[in-house]
Amino acid sequence: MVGLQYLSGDISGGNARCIAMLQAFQDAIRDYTVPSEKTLVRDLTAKISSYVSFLIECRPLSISMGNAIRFLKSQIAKLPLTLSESESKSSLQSDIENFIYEKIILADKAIVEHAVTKIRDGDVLLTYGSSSAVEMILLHAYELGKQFRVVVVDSRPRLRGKLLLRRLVEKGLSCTYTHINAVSYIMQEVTRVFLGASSVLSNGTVYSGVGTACVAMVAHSFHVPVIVCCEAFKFHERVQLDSICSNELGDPDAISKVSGREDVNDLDAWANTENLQLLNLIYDATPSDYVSMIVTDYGMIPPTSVPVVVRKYSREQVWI
Amino acid sequence: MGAPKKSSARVSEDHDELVRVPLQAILIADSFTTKFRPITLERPKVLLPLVNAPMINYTLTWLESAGVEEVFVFCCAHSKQVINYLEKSEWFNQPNFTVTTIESQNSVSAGDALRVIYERNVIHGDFVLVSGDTVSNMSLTQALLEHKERKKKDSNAVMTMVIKRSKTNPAIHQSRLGTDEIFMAIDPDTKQLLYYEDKADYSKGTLHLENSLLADNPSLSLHHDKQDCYIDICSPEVLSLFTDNFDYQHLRRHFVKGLLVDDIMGYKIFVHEICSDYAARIDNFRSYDTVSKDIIHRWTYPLVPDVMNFGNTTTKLERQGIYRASGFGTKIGNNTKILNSVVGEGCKIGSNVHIEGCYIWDNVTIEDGCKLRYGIVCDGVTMKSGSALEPGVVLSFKVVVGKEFVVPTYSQVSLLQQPIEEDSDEELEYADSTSAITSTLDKSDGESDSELSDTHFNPASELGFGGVGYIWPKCEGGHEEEWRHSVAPITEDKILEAVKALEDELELILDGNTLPPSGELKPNSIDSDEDDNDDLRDDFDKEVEETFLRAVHENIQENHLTLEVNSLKLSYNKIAADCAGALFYAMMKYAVDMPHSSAERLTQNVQAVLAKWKKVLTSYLNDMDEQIEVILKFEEMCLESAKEYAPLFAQILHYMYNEDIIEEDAILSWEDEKKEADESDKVFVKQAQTFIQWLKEAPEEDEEE
Repeated sequence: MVGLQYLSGDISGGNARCIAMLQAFQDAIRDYTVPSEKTLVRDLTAKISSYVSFLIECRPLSISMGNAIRFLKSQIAKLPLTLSESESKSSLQSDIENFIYEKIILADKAIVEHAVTKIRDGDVLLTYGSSSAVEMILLHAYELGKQFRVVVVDSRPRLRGKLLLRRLVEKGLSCTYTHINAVSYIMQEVTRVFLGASSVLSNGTVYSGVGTACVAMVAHSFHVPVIVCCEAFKFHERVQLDSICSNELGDPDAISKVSGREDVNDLDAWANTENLQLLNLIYDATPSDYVSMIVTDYGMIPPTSVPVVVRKYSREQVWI
Repeated sequence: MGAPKKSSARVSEDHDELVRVPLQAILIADSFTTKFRPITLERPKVLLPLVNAPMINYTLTWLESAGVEEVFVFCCAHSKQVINYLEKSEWFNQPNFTVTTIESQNSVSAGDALRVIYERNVIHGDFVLVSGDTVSNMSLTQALLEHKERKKKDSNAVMTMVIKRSKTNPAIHQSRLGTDEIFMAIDPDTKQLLYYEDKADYSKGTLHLENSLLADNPSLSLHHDKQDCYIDICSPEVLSLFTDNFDYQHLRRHFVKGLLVDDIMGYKIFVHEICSDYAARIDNFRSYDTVSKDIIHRWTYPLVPDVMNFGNTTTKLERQGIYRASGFGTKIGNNTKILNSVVGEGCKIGSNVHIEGCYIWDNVTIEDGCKLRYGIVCDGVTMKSGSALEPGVVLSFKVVVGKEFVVPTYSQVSLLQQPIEEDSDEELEYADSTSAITSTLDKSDGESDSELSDTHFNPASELGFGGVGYIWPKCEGGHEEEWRHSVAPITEDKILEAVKALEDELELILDGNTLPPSGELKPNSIDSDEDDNDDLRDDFDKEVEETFLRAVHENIQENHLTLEVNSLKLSYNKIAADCAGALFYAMMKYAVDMPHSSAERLTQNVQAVLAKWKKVLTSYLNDMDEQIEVILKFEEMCLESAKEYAPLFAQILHYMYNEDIIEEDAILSWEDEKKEADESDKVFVKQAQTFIQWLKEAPEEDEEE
């Protein structure tokens, strides 16, 4: 079910996908019974792996989801053998509950608290695409009565910025909406750039929705500080230098067709042309040079300090 | 970029037509309302600046770009001013675009205007009817094409109205443009307009539609989210219609509704909905504000200040949506803040002034430290230092606001006294009084100057020390309306008030439990129909039974009986299934009432009756549903009124099958239907089980054979 929602794009955004997956696992564990002559630890791990492979079939996992799965598996492995079936099931369920609450919901709150201090009256804040953390920051700052303006930059084909824009405008924020083509024009008046991230890698590279790198680079060249908001559970020890490897490819039709504009059909029926390849990347990697600061639940850190968080985070996970 | 494409397409279309009629338009440069008072006492509405260009310019530019070749500008109030303006502007010497003015002093409504135009006999083909306060960038090609196609098929399609989707505020029943919510019923397939109501009664929360409206149309969609753009594409018949019906005054209230109600002539009105194009009419101060903002936000592109430069000044769009004109002669002092506002030519604005959401026209002097919020400030106004405008104020021409004076909210200030209302009909009153005032104004400006100096010495001026002008007393009726139509944004407490009123109303309704909650538009007539149905059912059955008995006793022919039942069906508004049911009931009743000693005798009776009147019954049993209805009726009878039939159910059913009264499919689906029913209801299904079983097996055997 959740997998199909990923496939159709009903659930998108790192946090939403992760929470949906964990909740699906919770349901799966609730419905799970240990087959005879098997131990819970081994069998459940195998079961979870099969679920995960189904999810991967629907849409490749994001790094945050990978982290969450790793957490769940380690929890299963650590279950004492003395525990009865129902006890271990309920303990796993509460573990997942805690994970969602601590690592995602509380983390977001902490990020909002930290990041709001960086918004001053008269600021013009730019954001790209739609990030739940950034949205919360903007709304919280608005509730605090800060006077600022928001520029929402968007790009085809997913146009997720429209959703963010709608929610912000409904709340009464003053917004400007533009597409990424105009980012160099609008950047002149921007005082801060807030970006969400799918993951932060240990060399400080920010792995996020395609276009983020472009926005960050333009902001850098205009000397506008770039603040990336990312929960610590999305950090990963991998090092990646470009965005082609381990990226996700989207539907090529999405970039060849323009919804609502049937007259733009130059690429129709080109699917079989051999010397044409439509490339619809989902993510890109922003080098740490263009990121001024990363806001996480542990506080505000420069991108060079990411390994510290990664180390601390993984150690903490072992402790749990 | 789209423009050249469009024009080329249009040219090719024109070539297709054998006789080429130039596209004409009628522009009514008078709104025949008093909504823009006191400003319109001194200047016609179409010449009021909208983002520093007279409104009529927007309309004419659009008409020109949309391919209209001949425009007739109808002037009434302040006609001299309009004609003078047009003469000075470049509109009279455009190639391929002729502007002709038609002047009439004694027209009091749009209806009069169209009658005058009809007398001139200048309109030869389809024409576009707009008023001079319309701002639009829509392409007329599609709408015109649709109109012509329809006209070819049906010569009664005389008008196409342009509508646009616009969400109204549910609390105050008002669109963004400050107009009332409009209810329309449209046929979704043909786009024919069937019902139009702009003054619905919200207090009841219901809308009354004619019964026939629902009866005559297979489908009908009700809209309350559409905005009337007041752009109409009309056939020449429209003009003659106005002449024939000399009491038509208002375009919508009289003409459109008149056509919709009148079914003798059969004229039809259609709608054309635009999605991405812009079209709006400036009807009141709020729409003036909304449309101005839309122009600034470039929704009306290419009708934006930096593209359609009028006059000598050029306007440039700068960062963050600021338009700045060069050679404008407006001076702004230090530390002055201007937000969401339009400032005209030759203004002098002092320092430490705060202006928010205001429309300041030409040659306005605002001294130091003034505060203006959400107001309209006309030409030549002086605001002495320290004075302030509360939201919703309108300052007419040359008013002087005294030092430190605060003009209260929603007040309208003018040099002229408010004309005394002579007539309750606002349209008539407007034309009368304006014509009187034009004459005084036209004499000379000097007179008003002397008037100005007169009042200047009046120490008890209404506008503080050194102020000049009268604050118009608020009229009783207008009090409620002023916040709806003013330039000031609707304050939250007003909305809250409206919401509260709505909720109260809802509670009231729910308590009373008489009416559906407002917002849900249940066409009332449907409800009443259903109620009627229940009442009428017994009557209908009785009538049919009596008719049948009469037929039996008086030996009336079968087809005559069919005729009579048909007429009953029509008069009670029933369907064939009802007739079949009632008729069958009557027959069985008759059979059971006949003397019978045993079950066999009864069966024979039934068979005799059915055989005799089979034809009548089968004429209503074309459909499976009707046959099922008969079985159900029979079942009902067996249970209630004629228990004698109960043991014979299967037998009679079999007989009816043999006689082709009821088909196999009907029996099977009846059984299907009963599967989910209670055990008690299944008695007869069980009884007929062997028969059904046989039915089911029969076709299989056929196949085998």
